[in-house]
Amino acid sequence: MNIEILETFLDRYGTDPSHWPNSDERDRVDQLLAESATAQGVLEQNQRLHRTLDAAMTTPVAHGIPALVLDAISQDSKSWWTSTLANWLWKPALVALPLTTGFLAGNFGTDPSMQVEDDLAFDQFVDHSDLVVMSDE
Amino acid sequence: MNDSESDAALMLRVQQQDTHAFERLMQRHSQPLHSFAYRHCQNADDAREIVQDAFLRVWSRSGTWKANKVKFTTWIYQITRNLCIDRFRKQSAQFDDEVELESLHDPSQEVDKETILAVRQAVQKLPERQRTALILCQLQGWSQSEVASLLQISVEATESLLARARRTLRTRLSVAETTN
Repeated sequence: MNIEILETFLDRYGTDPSHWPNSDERDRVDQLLAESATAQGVLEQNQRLHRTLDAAMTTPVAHGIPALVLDAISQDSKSWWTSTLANWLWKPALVALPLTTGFLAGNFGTDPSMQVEDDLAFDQFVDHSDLVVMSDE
Repeated sequence: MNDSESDAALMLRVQQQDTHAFERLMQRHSQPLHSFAYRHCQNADDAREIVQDAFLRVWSRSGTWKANKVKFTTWIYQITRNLCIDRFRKQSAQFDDEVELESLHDPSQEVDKETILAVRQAVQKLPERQRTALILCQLQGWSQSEVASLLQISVEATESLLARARRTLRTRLSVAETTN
């Protein structure tokens, strides 16, 4: 094994020996590292690079994300009810509105002066049937 | 409260609209997910929004998750990764916020601000799949098979992505060192 193959190995599996797969290739890497100062230098150089990467890629702490998400779900749930009401109740209600209006107008909205009372109707009825009989004679 | 309850068990409860189970899932995963999103898009506000969106999608699509098909972790990281890619397409994300850099820089560390900036720019310039593989394997301790499952490629292909990412970084950072 030469240095180039060692670098390829380190690129594939990283610089932490605990992550290296157990294989013939690893045995050769271990052997090279045990024998060659140059190989050890390459490993140390790569380890330094990876430490730099770890240090440079630190991340801020994320506070409060669960609370924000739960709040959004709760808001969403409320708007779901609103939209459900709008879709499933208001549309039938709009259809029923003219029917209801007609019903109410028919029962309670008629002008009392326009109503004809039964007694008055009979008072004004004139029976002309006797004239019909007389004309036959 | 049982902290050892698995993600799968919690997800089954989330599918029944159990907000307590959902909250516990979020508490368990929000920080590592935020780290992934932040390292991916390198902007704290974007990362925060992405993680919130990811959890909202988990909630609204919980019924589509099948325990026997994909691990919860793989699923939510796939969602988060897709959101990162969408965000990156919409606005060419760049780490150029001096205030953010200041807040992250720890003077006790051996790495100076210029190096941090150079490393971040080098990572940001990697192709997306190489970046994802590097972040998860190198920085977040995922195994190569877990990353392979997330990217839906073979373990060998994942090794290859990692090798190319590390090689590119080594080259770019050695160039940056000699330039500085």
